[in-house]
Amino acid sequence: MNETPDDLISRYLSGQAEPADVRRLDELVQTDAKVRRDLFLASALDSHMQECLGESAEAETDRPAWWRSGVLRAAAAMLLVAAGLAIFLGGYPAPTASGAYRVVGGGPVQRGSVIVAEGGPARVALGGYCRVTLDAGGSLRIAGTKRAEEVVLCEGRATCEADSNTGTFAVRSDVGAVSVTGTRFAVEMIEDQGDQDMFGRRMAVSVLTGAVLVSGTWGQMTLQAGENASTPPPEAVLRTIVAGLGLPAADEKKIEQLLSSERVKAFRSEYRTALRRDLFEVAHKTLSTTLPKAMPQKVAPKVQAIRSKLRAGPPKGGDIARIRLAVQQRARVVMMPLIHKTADDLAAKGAADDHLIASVLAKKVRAKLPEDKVAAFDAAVAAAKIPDPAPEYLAQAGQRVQDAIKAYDPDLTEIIDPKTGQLIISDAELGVQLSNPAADKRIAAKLTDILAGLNLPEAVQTKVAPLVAENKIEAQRAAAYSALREKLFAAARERLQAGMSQKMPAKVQKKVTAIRMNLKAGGPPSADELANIQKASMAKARTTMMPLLHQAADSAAADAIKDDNVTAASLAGAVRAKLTPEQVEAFNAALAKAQVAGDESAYVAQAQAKIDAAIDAYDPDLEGIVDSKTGKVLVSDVE
Amino acid sequence: MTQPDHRIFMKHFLAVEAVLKAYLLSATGDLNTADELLGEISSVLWEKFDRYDPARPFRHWALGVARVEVLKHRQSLARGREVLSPQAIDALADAADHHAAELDDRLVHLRGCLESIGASTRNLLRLRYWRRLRISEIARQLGKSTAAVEMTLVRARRGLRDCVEGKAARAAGGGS
Repeated sequence: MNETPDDLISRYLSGQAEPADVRRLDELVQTDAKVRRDLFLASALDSHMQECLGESAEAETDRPAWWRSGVLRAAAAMLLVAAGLAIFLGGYPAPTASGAYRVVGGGPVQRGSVIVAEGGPARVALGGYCRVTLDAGGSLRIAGTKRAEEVVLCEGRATCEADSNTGTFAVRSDVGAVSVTGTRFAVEMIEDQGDQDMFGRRMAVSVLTGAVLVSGTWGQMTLQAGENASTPPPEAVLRTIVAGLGLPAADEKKIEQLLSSERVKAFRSEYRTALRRDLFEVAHKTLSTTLPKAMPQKVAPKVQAIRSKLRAGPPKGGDIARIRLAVQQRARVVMMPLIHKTADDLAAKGAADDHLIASVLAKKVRAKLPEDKVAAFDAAVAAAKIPDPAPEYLAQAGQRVQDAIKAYDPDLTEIIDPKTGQLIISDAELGVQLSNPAADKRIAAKLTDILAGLNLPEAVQTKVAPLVAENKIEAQRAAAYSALREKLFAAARERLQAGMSQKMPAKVQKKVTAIRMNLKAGGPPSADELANIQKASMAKARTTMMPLLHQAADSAAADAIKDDNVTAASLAGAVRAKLTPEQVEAFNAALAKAQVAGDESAYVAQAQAKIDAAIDAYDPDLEGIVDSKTGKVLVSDVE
Repeated sequence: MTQPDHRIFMKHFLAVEAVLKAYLLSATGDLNTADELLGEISSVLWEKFDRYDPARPFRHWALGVARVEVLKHRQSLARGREVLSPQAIDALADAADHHAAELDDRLVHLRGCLESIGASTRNLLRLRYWRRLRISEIARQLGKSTAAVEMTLVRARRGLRDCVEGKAARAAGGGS
């Protein structure tokens, strides 16, 4: 018979292959890349078919009618209790589920399935010796192996029962694990509720019969029947470490106060604000550095596609620059909400992350320790394996922005006319005057004169002359604008940081004092309170000032490129790249003589002056920081 | 040992689950074995997650673990049963890594293609892939010969494959 690889693959995957078929397929898999690909893709379709068909099978209730009967379903569940016996008699039972359950993504109940209890409890039986009842609203994933059954509790509460002498059973979660060899116990994932949001995740364990071992990054403990416990929060882990240091009573008291559950709860909320600020900074910096590099690569093929379709040829240099600029401005606007969302999401996640909070608290405790106890504390923290995930959060923020830029598809609507391929966005809409024919003429003439005076060899003249031609100036002006804008933004930002630290404290103090004096509420705040108010107000002000930074950089850069010298200096950079060191020296001297200095300091000063004015005009917003009705300070120790 | 972050693990695992499933089926030729192995592999990956180097692709690491588990499973099988050689199992792991990117679209198209097949073929596929019945059991249940069931299944699978490939090619070519 004339067997094709396709026939072999079909028989192999349908379980009908003879030994000779398998040997032949083996040979082909080793030697033929196409057969490997075909077998892999055919296997993918077969394995996925189960999931696709499963969805419809659930809807059409393909199962036998008796399965739908509540009475018989209960009887089936009872039979499963006795299934431990089956392990010794024959096949190892596959995981099963009953009750009000749904398998996430469809498909049968199997290892790896995520089970959600919807509208009532769901029951999961594992290996014939473990039974898990998941309360409505909960979810778990079936993990484990034969005789080492395991579920990962994602949400909600589960009551578990494991028979002795058959195998091990564990319930895991992201904060710990409960391991048993025969007992009944209940596990619940608890989301601690703060005033506004989720602030922590605990695993609460109650033992009904027998004993369990509860373990996590914080260590482990044994619980006996009738005992309840929850995985210790980060402050408890640190309290244990501090207790072992033998601190003087006064120091110990100070740290105890710092690690009181109430203080730590408030700290989580405040740390979220501080973390958000850092995340925002990283995300914004990533945007500023990645966008100018990524956009030209994305825009060029799109423009080319539109214009080649219309046989319109490439756009003029100046128009290319305008398109890039417009796309970049648009992308910045589109990306800003993403930056805020990234900072919000990761800050919320971080404030609920016990590992992160433990690590930050450890730093705070360390700062309060007497010098001779620091080494012992560091060793104890290292032994407790408290990681520092803060860099991971910052890296994630940067990565999310990079991914978003990578996925961003530049929108050319209202930038290029799809019917003609012509540029339709104006300089006024861009907010920058790139077209300036009179200046183009002046700059080209000036630079041509300077180059002519250098007595350059003819070959060099031929290379550099086109760079300073009148028709090249507009594109160079746009490049100068983009480069200068980045510089001005950085300078303005630096000014903002310095100016805020200098001027904000007095503004804030004045405002707080005014509030408290009006209310006759307890006099001025204490130094500690004031420091906390300052930190919180600064964080708030930075976010408010961000659009002003962009405006300052935009307008100063737009003014700068009206200056012939700035554009000429930018062109001179391109010329220098074609000259020898000696020729560069002569060129620089000629530029200086012609007063083409490219001095940007006036525009830096202009952008900075706008920021100074904005800081002067800024009225600190103390909402959420100081209660305007009572004068009470609402923020405490911020990292 | 630090407790690995379950959510990060889940994110990685769910992203490669279809590739792992396909690899396991290609290496074992049996849906039930592939499922059983996938459960065991998910557990091993979770246990070893703190050893995973995030600088490297998770898929590559997961396929490496899966390859070892398939080889272990192969050793545990009764002698005399014909299965793929370790060399072929290795080669399939490389192919899975190499062609993983082709899966996503195809699996999406499969849903559309399944909607276009007739009720009797659909029922047959359901008996085979959802109920996991052997061909002989399906033949008994439907009162047909094993050869007839096998042939119908082969045709159905080919039809689906052609449908999926066609949709994938049209999508790649930008057609409708």
